[in-house]
Amino acid sequence: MKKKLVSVLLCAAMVMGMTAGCGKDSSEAEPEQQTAGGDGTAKIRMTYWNSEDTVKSLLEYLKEEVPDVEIEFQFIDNSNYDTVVDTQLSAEEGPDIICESPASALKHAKLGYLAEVNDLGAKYSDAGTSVYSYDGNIYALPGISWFEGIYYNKQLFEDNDIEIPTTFDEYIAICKKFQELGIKPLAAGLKSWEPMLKNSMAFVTADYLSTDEGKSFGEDYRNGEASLDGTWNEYLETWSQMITEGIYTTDMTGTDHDQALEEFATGKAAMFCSGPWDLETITSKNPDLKIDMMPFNGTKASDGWLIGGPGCGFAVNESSKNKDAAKKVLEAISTVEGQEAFWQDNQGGSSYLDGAEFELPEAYASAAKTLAAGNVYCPWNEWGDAAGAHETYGTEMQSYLLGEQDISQTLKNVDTEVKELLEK
Amino acid sequence: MTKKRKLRPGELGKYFLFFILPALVIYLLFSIAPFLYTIYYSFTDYTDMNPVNLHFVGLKNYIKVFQTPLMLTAIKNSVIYAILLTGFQTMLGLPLAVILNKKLKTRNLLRAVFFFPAVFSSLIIGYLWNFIMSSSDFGLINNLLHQLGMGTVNFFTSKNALYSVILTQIWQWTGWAMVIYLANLQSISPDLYEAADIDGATGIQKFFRVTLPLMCPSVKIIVVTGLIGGMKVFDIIYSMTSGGPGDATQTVMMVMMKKGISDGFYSTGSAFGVCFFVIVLAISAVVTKLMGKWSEAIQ
Repeated sequence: MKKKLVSVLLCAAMVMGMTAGCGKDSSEAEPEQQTAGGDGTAKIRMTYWNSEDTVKSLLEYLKEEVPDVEIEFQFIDNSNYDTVVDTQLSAEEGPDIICESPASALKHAKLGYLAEVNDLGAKYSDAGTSVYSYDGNIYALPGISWFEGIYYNKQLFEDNDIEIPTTFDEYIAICKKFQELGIKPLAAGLKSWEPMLKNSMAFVTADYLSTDEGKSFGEDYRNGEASLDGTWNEYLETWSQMITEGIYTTDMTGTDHDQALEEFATGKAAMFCSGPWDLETITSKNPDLKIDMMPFNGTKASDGWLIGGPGCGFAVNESSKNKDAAKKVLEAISTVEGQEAFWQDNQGGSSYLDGAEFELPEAYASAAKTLAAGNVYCPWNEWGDAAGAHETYGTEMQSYLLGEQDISQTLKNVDTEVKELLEK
Repeated sequence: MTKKRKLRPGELGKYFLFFILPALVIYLLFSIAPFLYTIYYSFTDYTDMNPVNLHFVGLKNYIKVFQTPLMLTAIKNSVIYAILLTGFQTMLGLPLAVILNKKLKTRNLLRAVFFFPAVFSSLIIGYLWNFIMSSSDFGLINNLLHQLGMGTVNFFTSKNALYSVILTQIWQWTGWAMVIYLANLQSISPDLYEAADIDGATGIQKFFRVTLPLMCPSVKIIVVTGLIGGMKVFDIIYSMTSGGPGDATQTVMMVMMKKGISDGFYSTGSAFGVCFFVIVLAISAVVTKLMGKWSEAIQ
């Protein structure tokens, strides 16, 4: 009898436990469904692939400027960002304000997920809005631009009487000088597909894509009318001196980005290709480091080139329940004060808003001319739906470095991937 | 005290059903249903650009899988990885278990030391070995070599990157195999060893004639689970090489993530997944059959 009683009590406890759990869920769900707070504030959600630290000042500014809108910031890691946002959008549970890259903005615009923002977009320069346009409408507002150049150790250059190069040949020459002095010229984490991608593309930009001959390549490429193989080969053969002269070595595929940064920060290497996002890490590792940034160079002397483009584009979800609130926020961002607030945590980049100009930190002094000339370009931003193939370009360059294939095969592989993405 | 009624066979069945129903529903919903959907999607043109208007495209996606060099490389790398890892796990784990079954003073400490790596997540192990094997001066191994005046050893070239990863996994998982073999070893009756001693068997003979045949159950477990787990490898590749350099360490799961999900080719990814399922099924069937033959030979 006792056994039966105990077993009945246990069963009852289990059942109660289950239903208690269910009950709690349904009562908790209700308040969450309200997107408007009881006191008249609208609640909107914003997603971004950089941490909240990079938009801290912006969010504070928005709290003051648009007090009737409450912004919930959601950070999603870069490696999952597109997948998570795509899933949310297709389930009609997307964020109200979406930070877009040019490629994802194009995809979402085509699928009808974004509201057009032409009126606000008119306040920005074409260079910023062109990569966020589709079918004659602007779908995202460009944020502070990002750029990548060559950080260099001023002390090592001064101590050894080495001057900043103005052409590619001069660059190879100074690298050789550093090698003779027993100093590693360039720290590179070639385990990642990024360094050789950006370095080689900067050279091709300087020598081809920025010239009259190559200006329309990007557009032709995304329309399927051009291919990398047969067009870029000669420029990449010249650029390959970076490999044949031992500046990029095969050993470097065993080093990743953080380790290369460490080599540069501790003075073991003279140069390191990177951008504003690494500056704080480098200077915190070595506060005594005198650091400056030089641009990439082509074969002919010029103001130099940086790889870069519009940073995150702020877009409004077409099916957002608080579209007006979201638009209000975008309006507040599209002012000089708004851009300044965003710039606070992203110093070095420039704003595309007409009339917003910022002081360039000292760490980028040698790239000032390049930035002023507007020589900041990101080739794959023009590849439309195939923009994602820039990763494949980087990994194929790794195979090229390791001697697995020649330039033609490397470019052919990228072309195949691009074709597949364009036909999707 | 009430008299206990004699239970008829199968009478408690309906009560058991209620108890397993929740788990069964969850399993159907989260394992079986998605699997069936994957098979369905593999015959459609489902991509991230075409999420709702699905059309039946027959075997187009399967043909695409076999025409994509990356996917074939991934399958090849996964198979090499699975076979080498399982092979070394078994070959190293078994002698280790035998040695650590003998009466040693530090036996328990040694067992813990060898099993310790298996406790960590593969992600952590990946980042750790990344640092140890780095080509930069900060890499532990190369730092040592540089101090001894030797050149840099690059553990991540196209030819050896996969084997570098396999090395770290042999280090991590041999201890786990050892523990399972230990359990099996301890179930072997010492009478058999006494009988062998009486017959004048040497240590090696005892190992091959008594120990090994009776280890069949645990070897079967390690080999089958090791092969299946090896084919599914993801964490360690993601944290150590991200599939690089080039495509040297691309495996099935890495390619599935990249092509099937990130690039948005959902239908091709599904077809790839179904192919992968068939391959793993085939491997498991073959290995189970071979192991079965072995255990029959022993009985």
